[in-house]
Amino acid sequence: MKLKAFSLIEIVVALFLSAIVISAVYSGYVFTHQQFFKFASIKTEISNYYKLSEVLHREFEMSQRVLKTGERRIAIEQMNQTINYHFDQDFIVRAIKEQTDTFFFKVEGLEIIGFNIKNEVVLEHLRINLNEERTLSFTKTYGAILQIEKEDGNSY
Amino acid sequence: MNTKIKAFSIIESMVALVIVVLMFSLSAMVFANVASTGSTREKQDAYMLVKLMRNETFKNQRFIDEVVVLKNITIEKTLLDYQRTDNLKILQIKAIKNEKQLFETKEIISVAQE
Repeated sequence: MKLKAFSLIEIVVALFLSAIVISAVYSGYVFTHQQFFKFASIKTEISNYYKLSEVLHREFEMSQRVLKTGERRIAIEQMNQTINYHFDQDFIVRAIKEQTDTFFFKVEGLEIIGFNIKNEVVLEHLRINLNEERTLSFTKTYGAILQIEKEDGNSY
Repeated sequence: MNTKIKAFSIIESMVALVIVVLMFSLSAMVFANVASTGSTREKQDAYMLVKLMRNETFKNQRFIDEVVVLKNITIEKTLLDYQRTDNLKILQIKAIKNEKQLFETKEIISVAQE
């Protein structure tokens, strides 16, 4: 009795071809998957950059004074609250009382320019150098009283 | 042997191919447009440089028209008159690359008269 069937050679060829097709499809899938995550992480980083920039800019504008409170720390004094920022090497922490927000940026350098009034350093310019040659810069323009205090070095 | 096989004609196959190619090119165009309208590294650089230029202007009190090229992006700073007031000016800073405007800021500033 003779059964209708594929020969061994035919099956081996079919297996070989399907192996090629499956490996091609799988590598395509892995590549797309990697690209998607890379794309998503870049988008998240850019979005976080804009968020941090806008938040700091708004808080600078609305503040009464911005003080340097440590080597890598500033305090933004507003009418009803004080917002503290700590610029660590690996992250930036924004704190209002017990509530904190963390921005994951590597801070490579910090440039703080200000003036002294009594024992306090009032900040005028802040430049944060992040990794990949990206920076964030902020300027605070003060009112007339603080300008007089800046020239005198006394508090009124 | 005169057998007739059921199949598509060359015209039908060509039409199907053209439709598939058209659909692919249209979707590629839409994808490219969507990808370029979002936040990109280029736009982030433009934003960063415009803000940097704005803050350096205030820091150094450098209220003059300037053009600077950084990271292949041209930053144009222009001081425009604001209505009929001499003390108030409009500080306009634009980031341009390949004749395409990437980012722009405009703000009213007070400039001390000499």
